[in-house]
Amino acid sequence: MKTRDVSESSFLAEFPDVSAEEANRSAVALADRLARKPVSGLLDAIPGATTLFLLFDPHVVDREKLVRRLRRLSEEARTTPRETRRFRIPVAYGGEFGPDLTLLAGERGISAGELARRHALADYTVAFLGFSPGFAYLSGLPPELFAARRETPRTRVPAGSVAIGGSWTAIYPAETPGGWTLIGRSAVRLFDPAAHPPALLRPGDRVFFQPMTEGDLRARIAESRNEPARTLP
Amino acid sequence: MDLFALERGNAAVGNASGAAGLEITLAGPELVLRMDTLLCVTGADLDARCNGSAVPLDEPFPAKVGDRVSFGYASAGMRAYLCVQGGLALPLPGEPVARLSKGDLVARASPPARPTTGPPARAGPSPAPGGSLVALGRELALRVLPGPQPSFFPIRALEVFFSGTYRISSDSDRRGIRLDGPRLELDRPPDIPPEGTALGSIQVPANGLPIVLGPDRPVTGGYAKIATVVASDWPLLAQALPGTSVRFRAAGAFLA
Repeated sequence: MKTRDVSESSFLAEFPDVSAEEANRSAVALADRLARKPVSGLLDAIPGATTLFLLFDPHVVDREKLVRRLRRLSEEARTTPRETRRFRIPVAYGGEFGPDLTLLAGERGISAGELARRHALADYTVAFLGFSPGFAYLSGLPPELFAARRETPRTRVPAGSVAIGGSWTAIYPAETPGGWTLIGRSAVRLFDPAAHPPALLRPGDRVFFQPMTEGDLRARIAESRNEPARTLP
Repeated sequence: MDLFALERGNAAVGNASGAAGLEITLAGPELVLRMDTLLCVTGADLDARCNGSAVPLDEPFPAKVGDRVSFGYASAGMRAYLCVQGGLALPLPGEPVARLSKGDLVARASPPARPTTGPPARAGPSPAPGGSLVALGRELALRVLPGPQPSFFPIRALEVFFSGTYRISSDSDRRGIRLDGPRLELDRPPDIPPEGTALGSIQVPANGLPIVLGPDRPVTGGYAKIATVVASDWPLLAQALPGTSVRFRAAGAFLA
C-alpha cells in the first residue's frame, strides 16, 4: 500500500504492482474493515476504481501513525474476505426504455437482442459508488460492449436507466443529467434516504441482470415504486 | 460552505460543533419565529434585521414567538448563516436538500443539539470574525497544495495555473466553483480511474478550465486534479461573489 497526499486532512491509498481489479478488491476490503471497526481520527474511507480515499482529523491522529496502522490493517483485511451479497435485477432492454441500444449494437455489428443477451449474461461486481447517491459502478462488462461517453450529456436521464459508460455499467438511481449510453431500464430502488444504509449496493456486491419485457417493467413501475432487488441466496 | 462562520454562530448560541444552521446565499428570506429562542447571524453581511432593527453579526440575540427576522442583499461576502439555539432538524443523509420557499416550516433539531461543554470546538485556525469576507473588486490569493495528479499537467500548464488570473463564474454552486480564465493545455485527456475527492480539490476537465470542488461534489470523480485549496483558505472562496478575481500560489510544502 502506497499513499498520495491530497490535502492536509486526506490522502489516497494506492495498491501498486497489481491489476486494477486486485487494487479495487484491496481498497474495498480495507474500507470494509474500517467500517466494521473504526480507527480513531479517521473520518471517512471511500473506495474508488483502484484507490481508497481517506479523510482524517489531523488534530486527533498523526498522519504517519495512521498510515502505518492502515498498512497493517490492509494486510489483515486481505486475508479475511467478507461474505458476498448477490443481487438479481430485472431489466427491460431496448425500445423506449433503452434508446441507445440499437445504435450501439449497430456499431458493434451485432443485433440489439444479442447485445442485450451479452450484457445480461455477464457477472458484475460493485467496484465503487459515486456520481449520485446510490450510483454503483459495476465492473465485469464484456470488452466488446465498452462505449465512449456522449460528447454532449443528456440533461435528463430517467431513474432506473441501465447504462454503459466506458468500461463500466450502472443503473441511474434517480433522474439526473448523464452522458452514458442507455440500453435498458429497471424498476429497482437503489437509494432510500430512510433505509440503513440508504444505498442498496455496496462495493464488493455481485450483480446479475435478468431480461424482462417492457410490459413487465411497466407493471413493476405501476405496482410499486419501491421494487426491492431480489437478493440471491 | 463557510464552516468557520457556521461554527462561530453555533458557539455563540451554545450549540455543539456541527449543529445545523441555515445557509443564506446572496439574498435572504423573512422568517417568523414560532418559539422563543436565541439566534446568531454570521458570515456575509446581508443586512440582517429583527423586527426591522439591525442585528450585529457574530453576536447572539434573544428572539420571541412572532418576531420577524429578515435579510436583504449581500454587501460583503456571499453566504450568511443563521444559527438557532439547539440547532435545526437535518434532512436524512442523501435526501435532496431543497431551497426553502414561502410558507415552509423549518424545525428545530429533536433532540436539540447539546450545549457545548468543555473546550471549544476545534475548527482549525479560524479567521477573525468577518475575516473571510473580501471586499468587492479585490483579488483573492489562494494557497494550494499541488497534486494529486501532477503527471497530467505539463510545466507550461502549471506556469499558466500559477501566473494566471481567474474569475469566479456565475455558473458556480455548492457542487463546484467554476473558473473562467487562461485554459490549461494538457498533453493527454485528463481522465483518471474515478477516485474519492476532497473539498477544495481543483479538477481540470478537457476544456482546460479549472473547477474547485465544493461540499456537494460527487464523492468520486474521474478528472485529473492539479491542486487542492488549503482548508484555512476555503472560506475565502466560499464567501467570494461571482466575478471575483482569483490567483493561486503554492503553499509551503507540507510533504516532507
